[in-house]
Amino acid sequence: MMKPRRKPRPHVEIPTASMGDVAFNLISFFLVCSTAAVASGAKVDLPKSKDIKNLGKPPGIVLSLDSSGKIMLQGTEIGLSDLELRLTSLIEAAKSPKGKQVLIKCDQVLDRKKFEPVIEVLAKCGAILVLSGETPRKSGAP
Amino acid sequence: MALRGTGAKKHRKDMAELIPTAWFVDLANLLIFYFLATTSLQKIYGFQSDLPGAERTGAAKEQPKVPTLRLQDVRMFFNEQEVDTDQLSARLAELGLSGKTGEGKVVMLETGGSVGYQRYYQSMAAITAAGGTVGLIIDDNAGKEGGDGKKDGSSK
Repeated sequence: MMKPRRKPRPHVEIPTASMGDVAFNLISFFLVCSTAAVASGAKVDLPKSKDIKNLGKPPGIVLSLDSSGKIMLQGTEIGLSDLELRLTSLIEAAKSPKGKQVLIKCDQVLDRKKFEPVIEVLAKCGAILVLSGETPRKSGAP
Repeated sequence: MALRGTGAKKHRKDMAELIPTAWFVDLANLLIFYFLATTSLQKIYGFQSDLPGAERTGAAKEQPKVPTLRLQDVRMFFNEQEVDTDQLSARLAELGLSGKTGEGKVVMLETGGSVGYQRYYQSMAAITAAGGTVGLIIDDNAGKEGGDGKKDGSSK
């Protein structure tokens, strides 16, 4: 008896030539649409207000003040005495008005004796303040 | 036959000269993972305020009265009248700040006693939302000679 001869399986190859194009398109998308995430470096409970709006992309300079009054500039702890010098150098290096924007993330429980000197320093440096907060609806969401 | 032989040789030669591009995809994927990990699509909620530094002088005191909001502990005074948050928004709307220009837009913000950032922020946001610009009056505890113990960093 003759053995039934198996039909040779067709050689199927998944076409992957387009993968590279897709990948490069995704890279372009991320380059255009995203900004580098700057670590605030502090756990901050932001204040709530109904009078705030979406400001879009965050500025490049981030200043955080946590509930204990610790100041973090670009994710690094800094003293009030060094803040003016460091901020001035950052702002002077800015090539556009947008570069002079400083995002302030301050804890809502912080007392004025802690945050007012910082705001005073920012005013002296000629920074444009972008004060970050939350809308009440957002904070109430689970 | 001779022609076929030459064609096959040529084909083999062409194959040998192909630039290898298979690793491009791997590189591209690595870049995608890098961007996914390091970038942020987050939006910021808040408001913008420009606060150029300024020192209050004797001449500045003689200027016409500027609307002033004073935060004193848990209380809030607008032009020395106690107000709550809703009343403040109404009083600011009455001023028609968005239609004004220059120093006419300025509302001074003064603090005293123990004021938390939450109330300070809400006040600044209310002034900004009403079309005004915030001028900060900051206590100068150092007590400069000849000064009145206060500084202001009015905006614009």
